[in-house]
Amino acid sequence: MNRLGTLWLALACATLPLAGQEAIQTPAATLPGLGSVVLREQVRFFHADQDPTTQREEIDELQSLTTLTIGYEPDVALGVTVPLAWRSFVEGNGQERDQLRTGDVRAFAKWRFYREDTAAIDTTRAAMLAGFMLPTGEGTSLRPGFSDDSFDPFLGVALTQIRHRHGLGLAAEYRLSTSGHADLFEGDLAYLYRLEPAEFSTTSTSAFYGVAEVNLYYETNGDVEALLAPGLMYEARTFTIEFGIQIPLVQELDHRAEIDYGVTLGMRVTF
Amino acid sequence: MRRSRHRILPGLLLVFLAAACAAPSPGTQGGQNFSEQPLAGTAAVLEVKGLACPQCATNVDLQLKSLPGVSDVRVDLGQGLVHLQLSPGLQPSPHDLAERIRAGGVTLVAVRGE
Repeated sequence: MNRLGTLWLALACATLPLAGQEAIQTPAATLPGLGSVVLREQVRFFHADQDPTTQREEIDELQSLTTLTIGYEPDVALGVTVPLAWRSFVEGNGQERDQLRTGDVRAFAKWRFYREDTAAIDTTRAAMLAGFMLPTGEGTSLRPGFSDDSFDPFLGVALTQIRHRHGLGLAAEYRLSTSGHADLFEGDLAYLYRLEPAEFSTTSTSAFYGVAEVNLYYETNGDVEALLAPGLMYEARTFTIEFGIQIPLVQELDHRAEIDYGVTLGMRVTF
Repeated sequence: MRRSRHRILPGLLLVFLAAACAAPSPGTQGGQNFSEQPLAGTAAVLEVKGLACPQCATNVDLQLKSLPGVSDVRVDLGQGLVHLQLSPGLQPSPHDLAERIRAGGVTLVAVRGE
């Protein structure tokens, strides 16, 4: 963790002065307008060859994350995320199985406490995130924090900066397990580059972005995971389509399976 | 140690909620500098900062369209301008516009009547 933590902090500090838009895996300090609603649906697929903790093999997991966020005040949004997962695997005795499970529902508030708009496009924003995981889930997952069978509070911060074609996102979150399981720290760093258009014009209604993210997960049971997540994002006036992959950079896991890769396809719609 | 951590994070959450409810919003002061006199013409141009992205422009668009007297909104991402068509007799004030712009998450710099 020390080496990874230092690397993450160094990356964050080095890129802070640059510092968009919400990336695919990294929370941003962006909110829906007052009274507006954003519906975000992400489908994530993960594969692991084996899980030494359950003796399962050839594990495929398809997750659905449905998030509804409402602009409650000009700088406060309330939201809820409902996770669902379908898993297919081979048991230790060779029997193939699949299961459908709900995950822990995430209820959160986001407070944008800092906003400095410096030009037509350029802005720097910071927001705090806080909330609870509700004990609605069951079963194990290839991803940390899917189900913990307890009311787990979490607190985090997100920084977003946009300068011309460049966007930077930085987020950190700590989730406390109240059921005696491991606490979870998640650190995310995202860089977005607007591929098209190079310059917004008077008739611009959409943009196409390249995204590069690093997602770090540290659990107090000692498990550490860092994923590299490149992707593409198309943003129109009322919707965004996102596609990304996650490739393991570091996996030192003793309490869950190591994934081979992850794929994310998502969509956001503003009402 | 574990028990004290169980108290710290929920405590921080309470502080977060109290601060979020009590703190003045960033940009609040900007809206207070604009006139409360209704605009005179049937069109206006708003100069704004922090539009950031196409979906951010929609936040502004939705806020202004819900304001009585605003009949049409066109956001120019390239120039950071918002073009408004106003209904005669129902024109909003620059202060009203600034409040809606703030609710859309960007900063109003100037209001120009046409």
